[in-house]
Amino acid sequence: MTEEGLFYLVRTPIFLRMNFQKIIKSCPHSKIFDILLYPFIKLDTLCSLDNEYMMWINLSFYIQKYIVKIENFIARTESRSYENEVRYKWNMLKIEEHLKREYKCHWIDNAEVNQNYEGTFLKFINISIPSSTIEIRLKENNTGYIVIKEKIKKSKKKNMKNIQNFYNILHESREKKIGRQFSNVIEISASEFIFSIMSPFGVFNLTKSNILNHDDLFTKSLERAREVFDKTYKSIMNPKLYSVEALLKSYIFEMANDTDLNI
Amino acid sequence: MYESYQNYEYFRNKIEFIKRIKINELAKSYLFYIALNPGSYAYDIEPPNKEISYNADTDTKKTNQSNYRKANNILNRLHESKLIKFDIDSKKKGSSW
Repeated sequence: MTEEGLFYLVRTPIFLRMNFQKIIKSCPHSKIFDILLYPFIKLDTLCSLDNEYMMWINLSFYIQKYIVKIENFIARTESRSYENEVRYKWNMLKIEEHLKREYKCHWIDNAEVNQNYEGTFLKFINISIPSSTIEIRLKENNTGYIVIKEKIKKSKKKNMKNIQNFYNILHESREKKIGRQFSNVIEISASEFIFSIMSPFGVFNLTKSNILNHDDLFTKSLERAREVFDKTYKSIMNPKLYSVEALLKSYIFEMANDTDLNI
Repeated sequence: MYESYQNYEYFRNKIEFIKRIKINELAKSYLFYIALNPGSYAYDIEPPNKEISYNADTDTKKTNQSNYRKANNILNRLHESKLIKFDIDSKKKGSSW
């Protein structure tokens, strides 16, 4: 079977009822499998896992799901014009000087800086007091505003004059933009792979466990999935200690303690 | 980033190509057969809804020439549509897919 034949099969509903292991054996070097399977599990392992019906059904569902996702992304890019989309590159020196001069924020020199890819959002975080931040947001027509937070519930919002003096506009090619977005679509985490393929009744016999155990790619993926699962489990079972709010609170508390010690 | 765009182009070309292909249900079932049985050839494919007939003397399957020709035509059509290819590794004689 050809690569095109495989694509044709994956897009048919009957694909979920076919013996997926035989399909892999019939075109083992397909790019679909290179991207979606082999970063997490070796071909030899897949070929050795006979009679794992639930796992194989889950695997074919996983492949079909991602092909639909890729197809949807392609359909979106076809109907989208990338011409008017630009990126903003901030002149950090200039903006830091401005913030120090206008707002007396001298902590800005050691601040943690976050920004989105397009550069329409820029955030400085005071590493000594994480609740103290400065955000700069760009709006359409070269206008923007600045939000200064000194305490968690206190913030000042001001328009930023002559904001266009602080950035340069970068024009990216359509190819580069699509490539960047597409890499987000096809970059699958190991935990996503493991959770997609494991059956809820997954108990393996000695032979199967040994096959999976000897695949270093699979064991690494399993470890990563376990870390993610542990976090989820803890945050649900013990929200007072492990929910997002609790973790953030303890982080801020630790930072404050460190600052006191330094003083 | 460039590699990622190449991947995008690859998937886009394949999906566009597949969308243009029109094959009937019988041809589809032949494609499924070849996918699950690589290295097969037209003699291997049984016509649907027909019992397999055996030659009692030699204990081998009776081959119906018209069924074979029909199967071969469908496989050739699938090959022209680039959905299947010749299996060059196959040790069987004749056209193997």
